[in-house]
Amino acid sequence: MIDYQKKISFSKLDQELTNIFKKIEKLKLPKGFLDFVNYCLSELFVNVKEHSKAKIISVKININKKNCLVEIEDDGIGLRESYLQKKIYPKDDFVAIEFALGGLSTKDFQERGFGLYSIRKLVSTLKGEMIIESGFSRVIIKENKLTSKKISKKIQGTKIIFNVPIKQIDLYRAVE
Amino acid sequence: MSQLNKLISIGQLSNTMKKESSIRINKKYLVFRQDAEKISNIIEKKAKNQRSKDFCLDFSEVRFFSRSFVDELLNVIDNCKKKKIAIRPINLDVNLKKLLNKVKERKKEIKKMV
Repeated sequence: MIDYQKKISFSKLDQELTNIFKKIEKLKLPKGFLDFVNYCLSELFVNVKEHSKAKIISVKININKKNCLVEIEDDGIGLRESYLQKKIYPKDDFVAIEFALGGLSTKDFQERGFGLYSIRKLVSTLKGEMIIESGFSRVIIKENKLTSKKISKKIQGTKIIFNVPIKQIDLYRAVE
Repeated sequence: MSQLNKLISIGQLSNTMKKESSIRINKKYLVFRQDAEKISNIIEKKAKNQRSKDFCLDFSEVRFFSRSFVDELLNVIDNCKKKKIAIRPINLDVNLKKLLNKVKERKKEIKKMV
């Protein structure tokens, strides 16, 4: 099983993600679950690389017999600032998280941001839980219900956590 | 140059109809858009220096690619088409083929909506 925890500098993201993939590939996982983990990790790392302007990324991955927990936190500009810099104006951190979960891309009006949108869908398919924190907001998604909370200590960048039971999944059917 | 060699290796593929340059991707995991951009640069440079503008991209060594990589790869294929350079992905794993087709369909839908 895997108990991985590391702080990664932005310039080493590509190299370290390859190391993580190699570690996970060695595990015996139900059909489709490896695809699910690889897909989610790649989406989260791409988000960090393309939008966060982070310097350091903290990554925690714990895969045991029953569960898979992934936690990725960056020290970048956060979701709201990322939208503001592209002239999209969420009124607060909570709305910025909602935009991201809804698939609103900061890249181009012609594109769609599939990152968090598809991870949310996949986590729900597996009946797992997902938490997104950015700025002063925390959003928890469990059993497809979304609850939000104000947090007292500001998260500088963005923190994404998901925890899912390990089971078979047809990833390529579930993604849009 | 050594970094490029890590990513790809170049050969020739003879087809009954035409000669294609075969470009084998050596990386197992393709995640970031930059990988697709590197492939594009190599192909465009090669296309300038040879008569044949037909390339096949060999994915037999690739175990996983991300949605972002695929999205960028499709942009690269589209842009090259405009320059009369044809790129044909080959030897894709079944699941990778599924993702490529999903992203292709999605891009078409988004284009229609716009």
